Amino acid sequence: MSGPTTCSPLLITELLETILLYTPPATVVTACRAVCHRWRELVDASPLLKRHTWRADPNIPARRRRLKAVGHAFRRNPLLSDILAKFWKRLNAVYAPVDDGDTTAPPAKALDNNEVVRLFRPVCQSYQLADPAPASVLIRLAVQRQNGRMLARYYRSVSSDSTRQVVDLEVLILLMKEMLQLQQQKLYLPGERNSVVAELQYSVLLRRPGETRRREVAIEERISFQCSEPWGISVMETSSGRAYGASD
Amino acid sequence: MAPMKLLSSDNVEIEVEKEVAERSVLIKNMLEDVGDTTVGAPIPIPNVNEGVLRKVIEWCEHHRNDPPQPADEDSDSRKKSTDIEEWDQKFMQVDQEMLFEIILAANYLDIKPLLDVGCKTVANMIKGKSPEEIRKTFNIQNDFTPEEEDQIRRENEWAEDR
Repeated sequence: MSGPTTCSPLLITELLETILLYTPPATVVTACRAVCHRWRELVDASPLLKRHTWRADPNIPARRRRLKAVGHAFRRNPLLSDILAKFWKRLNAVYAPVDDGDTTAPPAKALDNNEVVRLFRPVCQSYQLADPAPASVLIRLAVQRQNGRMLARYYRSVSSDSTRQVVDLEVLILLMKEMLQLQQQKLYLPGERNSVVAELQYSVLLRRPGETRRREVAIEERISFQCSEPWGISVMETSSGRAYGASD
Repeated sequence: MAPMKLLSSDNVEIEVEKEVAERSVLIKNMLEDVGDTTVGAPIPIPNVNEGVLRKVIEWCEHHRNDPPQPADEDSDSRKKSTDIEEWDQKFMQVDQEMLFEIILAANYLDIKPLLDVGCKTVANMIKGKSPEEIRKTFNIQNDFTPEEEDQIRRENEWAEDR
């Protein structure tokens, strides 16, 4: 019984599940799903892990999802930041300074719309945007010179029709395409003294504590894209939604 | 402060205070079942060897005064905090074999907070690693076919750094 053979908790499904529930969702949906069949099947099948990783379930009709949203807290999928950060890095890789010592390195290739869709659509379609799913999302995008001069602005509202809410992260594809446009039009120039800010406004139905009826609440967040190395983004919640316990 | 004895899988008697041992739900239930009739007789813990059992008891002693965990009806509450308190972090600085044995012992003895600390420690080891690094760390066989590998590579391409 007490031999030197150590049984690994990773071989006990229940324990592996608990461990993965403590692992950041971004690691779970990429690295952990790619370890072996067992891990992959667990990540895809476990209801708890599905929730942990914000997996969008295309089989659940939006109507039922809406009914589930009885809480008073709004939570946005943290994967959104990971995806935008990766996109932003790629977008700016085009302008990465070429190391003179290495002449064999191929010149950085510009991303095009098709490439972005090919790369990011699968992941964007697989995961939920927020809980509860917003009835609509308003995207505002602005490029600004450091001296305050506005270079470009973009508005786009993505809203639901009567049956559909903005369920998955695909709304990000719109944002990405627009940013590519700005770059192709040289309205955004990496490394120069400009800034890119995206504001996302989610319109959601929430029930305040003590209230019986749900009300439409606007929750806003601002994503600042860092325009020089290291390419990164920072996300700030700017909304009054905090009063409702947004993302606790 | 009643003392009692536990018997490890390798037949070593370990003295421990009852209230410390009762951090284990398994032992607590056993004691309730048998009542006080068997005072003095060591309780056998057939799945846990001496070294691991002493380590587990060390944890229980340090956490003897922790407030009881709220009933675990809300699975959301547990994933909220991935922080590990400082003492527990130090406690978990052991080799992987010991870490795994502690987790298994905590699971068997039903010591939920210790189990959580152990699982969080493993989660921290996974965090930010590539699939290959995870396999290497935990000695896991890659059982994907080349076609599946290719599919996975395409799915994860967005997250690659280049």
